[in-house]
Amino acid sequence: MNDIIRFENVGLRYGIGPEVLQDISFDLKPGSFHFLTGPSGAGKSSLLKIMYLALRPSRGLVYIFGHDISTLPRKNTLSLRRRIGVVFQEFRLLSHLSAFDNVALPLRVTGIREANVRKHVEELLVWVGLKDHMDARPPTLSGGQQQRVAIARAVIARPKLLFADEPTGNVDDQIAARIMHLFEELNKTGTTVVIATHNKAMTNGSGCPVMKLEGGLLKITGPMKKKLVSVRHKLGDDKKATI
Amino acid sequence: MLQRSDISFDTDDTGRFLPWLIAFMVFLAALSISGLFVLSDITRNLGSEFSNKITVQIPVSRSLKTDGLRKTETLRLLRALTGVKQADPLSTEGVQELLKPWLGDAATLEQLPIPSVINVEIDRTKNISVKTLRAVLLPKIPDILVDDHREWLNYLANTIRSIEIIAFSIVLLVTLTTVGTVIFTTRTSMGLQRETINVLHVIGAHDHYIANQFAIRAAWLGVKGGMLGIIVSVPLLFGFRFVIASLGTHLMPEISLHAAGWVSVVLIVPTIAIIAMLTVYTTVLKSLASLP
Repeated sequence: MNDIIRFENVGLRYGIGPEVLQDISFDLKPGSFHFLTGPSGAGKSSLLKIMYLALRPSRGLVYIFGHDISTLPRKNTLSLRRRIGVVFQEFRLLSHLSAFDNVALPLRVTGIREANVRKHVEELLVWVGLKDHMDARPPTLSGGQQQRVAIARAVIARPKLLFADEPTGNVDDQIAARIMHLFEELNKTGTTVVIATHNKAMTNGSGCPVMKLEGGLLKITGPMKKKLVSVRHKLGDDKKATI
Repeated sequence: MLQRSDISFDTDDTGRFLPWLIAFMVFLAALSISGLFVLSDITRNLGSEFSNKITVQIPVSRSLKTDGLRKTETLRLLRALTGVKQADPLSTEGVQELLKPWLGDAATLEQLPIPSVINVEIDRTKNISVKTLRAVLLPKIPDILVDDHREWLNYLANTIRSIEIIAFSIVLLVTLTTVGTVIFTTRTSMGLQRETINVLHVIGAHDHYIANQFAIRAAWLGVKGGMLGIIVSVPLLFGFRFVIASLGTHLMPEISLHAAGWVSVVLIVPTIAIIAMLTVYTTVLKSLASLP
């Protein structure tokens, strides 16, 4: 199987209520870039949760990195989760840890030596423009800074799959453009990226497949291109992003 | 002292409550274990001291001369018996000292009819018993009293055994209560740390990684609480010893905790820390198993 993610007739129901996701079928190729859109309550976050293994579907088949997650023993999902990066809509930074420690988490949980952790985290925080805020705790950071910490945490372990839920929802256009530049750069290195967003300016004319969720059903539009047509200029930043 | 933790335990109130509870449990356990050791020593000491002893009492007769003759005759009969290792009369002053805890100064009154007491040491392997002595002495001195200490020793040993069971039950109850409380506080703590745990889980933390952090904290709380419990219990143990010693040794045997007892009391601290740590570890793992 070449797909990095494959959904076959997946349905999701919470409790005994109606299905919030119905017959979802799609596949994502390695190194591809996708947008996931839909009105509020359409099920975007639920779909993302299934993809980053925080939720099991009620029915259907889900393959992540070629593994059928419905039959995969729980202990084996660990290695899959470590290959996935997630940028949460509400950041979900740990407020008692500094920006440095938040970003270092994905490396520390794998047992990497602290010297190496320090090196990689410092490099990345400089790259996202937070060199002077390494020891700051999230509550003291602005929304844009927190967003960059969250993104740095999601990408520090060089994930093969990156999910971002409304990554530009809390920031201005300039920061949003810079964030998209980060995702583009990551995608160029081979990471498959899925961005859930309401931002039509971002999805329109991006040249990427757009997965639209409505009423629990999924419709895919747009060409199935591997490379992303840069969306930075769509967000108002024509300059080469300097962060 | 603790390694870096990704989980914020500073805001967790269970960390304030648990050491006090553990301190109380350790305090009870320390008293119970000390009691077990002391009782065991008492049983052993009394057993070795009195198991081969018999007391012969010759009641006071109408005249001192008769008293003297009866005592001499009793000693002669006792010393002639095979199996009697020693038969020594207790002096009048010695008997008065024995009676002092009960009678006070009245024990020294000359008008007080104090019986003659003979301490007899026998060799039970020679097939001699209280019955043998009574069979020999009663025909000559019908009102003589022969007491085998073993009878009341057995009664005392049974009583001590019952107290030991109670003490052991207290230690067991303390352990179970500690385990139950730790399970409850761990679940509460996990509820408070739900967001952090979920984030760690999503980014790929192994269940053991998360459980280790809770377990290390539990061990530290166990040590803190245990030390507090020991610090309170040790002076109390010394105090008990002082009070009992000041009552005089006639009514109570000497009570002291030897090295093994003290070591056992001190070992309560690491034991309770390990129990807390293992309980928390398994509780956390079990809870995490419900995560996808």
